[in-house]
Amino acid sequence: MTVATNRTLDISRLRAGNLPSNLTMTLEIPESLTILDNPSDVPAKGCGAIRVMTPKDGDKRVVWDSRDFAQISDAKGMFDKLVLEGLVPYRVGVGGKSSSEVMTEFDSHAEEIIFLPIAMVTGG
Amino acid sequence: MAAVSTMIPMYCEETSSACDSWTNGWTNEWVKVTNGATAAALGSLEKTYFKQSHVTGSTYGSNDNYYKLSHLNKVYTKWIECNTSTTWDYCNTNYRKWQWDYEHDYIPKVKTPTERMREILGSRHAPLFIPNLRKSLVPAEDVREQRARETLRRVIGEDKYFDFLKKGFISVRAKSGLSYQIFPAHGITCVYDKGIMVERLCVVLKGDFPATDSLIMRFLLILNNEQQFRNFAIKHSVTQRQNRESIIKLNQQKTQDGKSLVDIFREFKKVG
Repeated sequence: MTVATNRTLDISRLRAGNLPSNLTMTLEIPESLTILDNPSDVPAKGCGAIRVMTPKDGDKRVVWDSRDFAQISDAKGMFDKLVLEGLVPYRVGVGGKSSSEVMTEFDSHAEEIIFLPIAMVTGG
Repeated sequence: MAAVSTMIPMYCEETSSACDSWTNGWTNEWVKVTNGATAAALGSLEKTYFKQSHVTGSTYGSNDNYYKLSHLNKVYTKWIECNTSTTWDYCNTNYRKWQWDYEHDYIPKVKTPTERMREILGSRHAPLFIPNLRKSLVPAEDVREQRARETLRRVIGEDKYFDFLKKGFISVRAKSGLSYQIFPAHGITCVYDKGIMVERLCVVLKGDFPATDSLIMRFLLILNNEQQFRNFAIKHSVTQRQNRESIIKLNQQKTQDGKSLVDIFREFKKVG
């Protein structure tokens, strides 16, 4: 596991009608959570991961340990903030199987959660 | 190289020497092989060990790991299953269970009726495959793209991911029954209804996102909120890309020789 130095996330905030957003905000990642920087790194057993799509990093992967209450709390806080900013969370199927499902609330046992920056989606 | 262990072991219990006879220019020989031996290995065994085993008779009467290998004009083409009462002529005409393509060393897998049925169902819903238009993806150098591909791998699963690397696109069937062919980056998403392209939709992620992130976005939106995906999309004409008439014709050809799925199912059921 590699700990990245950059512990911020740049996310788009709002949509203007059917147009993509130009407004971005920076979100601090809590110190207790680990960031996986290397693409081939996988979260350890018992850990969950949040993947946030960003132009800067591709996918920023933030890992929490589902046996550590402090980390769960921080991950939940981060989940709520991202939802509040308009990103849509999708749960990846167990064992990486093909499936997806929009999450309405944080689940500490979720293997992986992908946040889609819906504000950046537009017709081309 | 396909291994011999993938074939049903064929042997001859040599008690009456019936199998050791030869007629019409056919000869048959004993070759000792182990499970997993390749065609090349068999070839060398024939050259190096056959004579010895035949001469010493050490293989006589045993059927473990001894395979009857027959050949015509020194080309190994057939595997023949025998038993104690089998004559060579009988083997020759009735027990050619396996054809061995020695040149390519490929043993085709026998599909079950269920697998075949799945294949037919898939082919009727999948987009028409046009060879030589799709190129497999090259390994990504950009670390952002590498991360995005790993994410895609988790989202769509291993099988579909390797399919994606090979073909350069993924296909997904939405709840509406339409099939979407999704390409990375700014590729236009093609929509198929029963194998016929009906729409081309363009939905992108604005900004400098890696190519595969756009594909993930489309995949997730189509699976979870198809209507929202369509609302975002800008529609392009189908005829810009392909002549619709010719596609319809090709698809008709594809299904004409087939019968209805019910008929096919009945046939498979009979076989099963």
